[in-house]
Amino acid sequence: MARREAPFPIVGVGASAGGVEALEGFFRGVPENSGCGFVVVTHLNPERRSLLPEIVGRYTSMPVHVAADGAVVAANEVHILPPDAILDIENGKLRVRKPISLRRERKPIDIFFSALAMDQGECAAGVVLSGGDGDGTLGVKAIKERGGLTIAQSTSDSSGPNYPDMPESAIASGMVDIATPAEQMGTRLVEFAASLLNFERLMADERRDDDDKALNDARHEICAIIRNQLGHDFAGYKGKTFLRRVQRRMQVNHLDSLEAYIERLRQEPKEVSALFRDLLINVTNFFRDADAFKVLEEQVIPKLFAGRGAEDAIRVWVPGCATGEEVFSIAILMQEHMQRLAAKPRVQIFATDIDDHALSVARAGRYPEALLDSVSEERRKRFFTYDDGSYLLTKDVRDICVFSPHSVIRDPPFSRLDLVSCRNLLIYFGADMQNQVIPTFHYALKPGGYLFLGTSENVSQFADLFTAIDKKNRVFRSREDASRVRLPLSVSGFRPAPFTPARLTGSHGAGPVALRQSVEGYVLERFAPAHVVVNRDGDIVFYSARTGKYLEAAPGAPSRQLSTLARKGLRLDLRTSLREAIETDARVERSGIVVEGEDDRVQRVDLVVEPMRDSPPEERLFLILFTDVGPMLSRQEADNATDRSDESYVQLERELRDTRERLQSLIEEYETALEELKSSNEELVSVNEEVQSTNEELEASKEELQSVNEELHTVNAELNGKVDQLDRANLDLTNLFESTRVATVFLDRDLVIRSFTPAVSEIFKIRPSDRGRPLTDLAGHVELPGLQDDIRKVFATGETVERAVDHESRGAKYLLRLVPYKDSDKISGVVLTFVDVTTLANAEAHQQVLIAELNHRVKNMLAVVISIAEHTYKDAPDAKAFKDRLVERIKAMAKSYELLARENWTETLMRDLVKPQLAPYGPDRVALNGPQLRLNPKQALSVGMVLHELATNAGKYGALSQPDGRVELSWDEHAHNGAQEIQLAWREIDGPPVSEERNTGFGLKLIERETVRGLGGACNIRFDPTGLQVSLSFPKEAPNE
Amino acid sequence: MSDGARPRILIVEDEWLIADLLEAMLDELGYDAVGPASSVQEALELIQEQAVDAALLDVSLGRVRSYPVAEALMRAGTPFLFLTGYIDGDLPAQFRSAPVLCKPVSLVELKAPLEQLVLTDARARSEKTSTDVSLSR
Repeated sequence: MARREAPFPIVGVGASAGGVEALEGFFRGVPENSGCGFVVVTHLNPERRSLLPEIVGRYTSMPVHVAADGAVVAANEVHILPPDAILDIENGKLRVRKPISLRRERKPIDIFFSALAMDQGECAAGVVLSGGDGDGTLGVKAIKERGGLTIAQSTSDSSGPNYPDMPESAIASGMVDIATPAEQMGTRLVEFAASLLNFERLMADERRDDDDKALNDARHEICAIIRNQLGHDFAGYKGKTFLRRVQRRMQVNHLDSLEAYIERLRQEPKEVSALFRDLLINVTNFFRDADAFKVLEEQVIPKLFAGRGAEDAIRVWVPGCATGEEVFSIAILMQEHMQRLAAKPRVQIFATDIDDHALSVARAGRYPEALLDSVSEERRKRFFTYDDGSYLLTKDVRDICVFSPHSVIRDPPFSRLDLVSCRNLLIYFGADMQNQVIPTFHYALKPGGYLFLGTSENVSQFADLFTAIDKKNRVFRSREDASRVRLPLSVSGFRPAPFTPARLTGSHGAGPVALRQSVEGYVLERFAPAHVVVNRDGDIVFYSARTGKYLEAAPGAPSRQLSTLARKGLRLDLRTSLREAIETDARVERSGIVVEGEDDRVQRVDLVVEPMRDSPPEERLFLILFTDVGPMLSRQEADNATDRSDESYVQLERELRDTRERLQSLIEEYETALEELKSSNEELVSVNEEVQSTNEELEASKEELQSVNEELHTVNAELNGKVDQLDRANLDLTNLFESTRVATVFLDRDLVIRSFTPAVSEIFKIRPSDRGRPLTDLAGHVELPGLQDDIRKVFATGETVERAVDHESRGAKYLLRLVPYKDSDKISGVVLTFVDVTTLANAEAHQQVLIAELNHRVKNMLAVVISIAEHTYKDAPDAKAFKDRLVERIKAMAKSYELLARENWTETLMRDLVKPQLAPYGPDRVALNGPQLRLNPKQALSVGMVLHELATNAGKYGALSQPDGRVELSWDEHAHNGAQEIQLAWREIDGPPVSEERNTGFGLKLIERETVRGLGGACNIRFDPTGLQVSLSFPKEAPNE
Repeated sequence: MSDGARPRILIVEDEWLIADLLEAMLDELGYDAVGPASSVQEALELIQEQAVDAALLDVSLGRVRSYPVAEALMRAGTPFLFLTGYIDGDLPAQFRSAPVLCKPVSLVELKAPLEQLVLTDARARSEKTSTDVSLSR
């Protein structure tokens, strides 16, 4: 076993049919950080890719890997068996191998579980989920035997597995610690992981002296409880293993201290036997208890075969055979012995159990390696074939074993057996049941047959039925002298009471009834005629005293047959009179029979055969009384006596003749019947063989069907998952179509509508019922001339066709796009999409207008600038003055344009327009006064130019040319001739004296012309001596605007 | 048009600064300017009142087009040319034969088209009055 730094459990999860659902439940219940590593093993179809990793990945946040060869299993990870592979584990690393054959009879779960058990021991956990066969049962056994935890999906409640066979089989084996719904397994596994660490600590503590003592005390206490209740002492058991088992029981019971568990043991006898059974599970596998099997091999089996020829049969019964290891162990021993024999008797081993699942596992005869520990290499080679990870018993071993469902307690037992092997079954029974079962075994066995029990079982209270051959190894022999109970009384619920008379004689001082019986017994013994009681077969079931005169032991094997025991002379009469009594069911008497005694002396005897009325007719018993007539005579005297009674002699002769004839016919009848019996027996044997082989075939085909079915289920689950995904994708697409509001129509080759989106109703008069109709049948809101040609073109070239279409009534524009509908490489239809491009088209047109307007304005402005330059040039005295003035004027225009651009060419406030033109002169020198007044762009440009000229003029020659000069600018709006008019007044104060000459240049002309021509208004310029006064008025709405 | 007298050219232009410039150019090229008219109304009145040999029409007068003026000129058989800031503004079909000059226009650009206009005007006029064309040359 691989030792790791901190031990963590590796959990093998086995599932088959119905497993997908169970795995979902299981992984939902496992927390992300469970501390366990998981390996999932399922039955997969080798020819199909499995979707299981994806499926499992949906239910867990742990990383999910497809198991790869050499992968190390780490905590909080999931590995999944790939299809067509066999998985086992070595030193914590997975090993993936290809199976040699493609047959489906493999048991992948058993194989992995047993490898896990061998590799991980106490750190292994096995989980059996839903499935349709018995896979996992042997694996669970292997894990349990090596101290691991075993869990199976509980089958009782409603949330149980869809296919309960697999977990049921595991649970029925008695090897499952916890049966719980799949969802709750995760919690138990987390506890298990924690307990491993705890146990490590506990063990570490054990090495310290003081704790050692406490632990030992607890151990002794538990041992004492078991000893008291069940009489078995585990004191010699290995400490660590013992504590491990105790701890496992503590975990199952949800207890976390030893004290609490001891308390539980004291209160619940059931828990004691559960622990007891767990402690016994050590080696259930082949040749469990090598010593005991050695005794069986060396002492018992040779005796069974002794004196048997090929004609004889050896019958063995293994009740409670479970999964069959014990049966096959015995079968192997038998085969080994038979190899050495020339004449091989027929061996039949009847293996029975009440659990059908276990029987089917046993019938398969296929075992994982872990269970073959005690099988020697030689035996493995001789009796097993290795087949894809598991070992299959050879046919010669399987052939001698017959498995059938049977209850030791309820059903009638087998009979005439040579050996009953019943190991570790009795420990599950209480004292009452044991008292019933052990006499049953005695009944079933031939006299001198052998009983083979488990090391912790005993038949000591039935010493009258069995004698010990090997006490230590529990091999017993049926006592021949014990009274034979004809029917197993257990069937009628009656306890057997053998040897009653003997016991009575020994019990003095009993009550009046007992006294009477004792007197009767005494009289019977002393004064009654000698008698025996026989059954219909002539077997003596009771002897009285003093029968030796009439009966003697015959040579050969001991026998109770009346006719063989009868002394000479008596034999014939006894047989015929008994036969007569059986046939007539009436009393038969014979008198004067001469019986030969010792010393050539004879005795005349009267014989009475009487049916005992109180015994049932089919089991009728007959009382045979022997009464002496006269004293014993010598032969001669007897002959004389015969002579003396001639008459009776003649009569006797006649009777003798009759009787002989009758005897002859009887013998013939008997022989015929015997022949018939023999042949029908042969028929039965051959029929049985046929039935057995048919059964095996059925079994195999059932398994095949089962695996096919499971695969179909798995595939179906996968398909369901895919359908879900498709549904989601479809829903996404539907929502996408609806949200984009792009009208889309899918057409096939004949222009038949396959499907369409809701937005199509804006373009065609279409209803959901129109699917399947040709598009050309529908009236449209949109003219689509040449659509068919376009579609033909798409089909022909496979290229997309685009064109613009106009909506008649809505004034909307659409971009119609015809795209080929590609099905793989073939064009199987065409997709029409109508994209509403109205806004785009409008925006484009608008943009065209804007660009043209901009162009116009720019050119117009350039023309204006040229004109200004021309005028400025004419006015300017020199080149520098021209340049300065021109630049100033263009700058002034630029300022106004900037303002307009900022206002997005809408309207401008008068104040905003004025400020930049007058800013250079400072706020103190310019007083602005006017209401909020808005100007349109053309007005703003004109007013801007006018103000620039006024300000420049004032700055050069007027009020602003002197430090004290000021300017007042006011504006207002009022009605004039029914239209709104804007007035603007410019007044210069404290400037130099005003003369008109200085202002005849372009500046003044510009002011006047701009007001009159540009603004459509009037201009008044007054050269007041105190300062220039200019007043402008113009209509609020310019005439051209 | 009498000999020695300068041909009379009507200016229809709403931007007075540009009109000024055109006036100066016409003067320099040896024409008499009529107008300038800054609106359709003004232009139509001028055509009625005064004799005009040819006309320069700004296509856009504020937000209004000068097409009514152009129509009136065509009816009167007076040749004209368009001045425009629009690069490829589509003119109505009936004006397609009229020359179009792009603003801003220079003296050189204006010279030849104007001469052509005046010549066309003279030819039309002579046809109308049945005068010999060669004589007026």
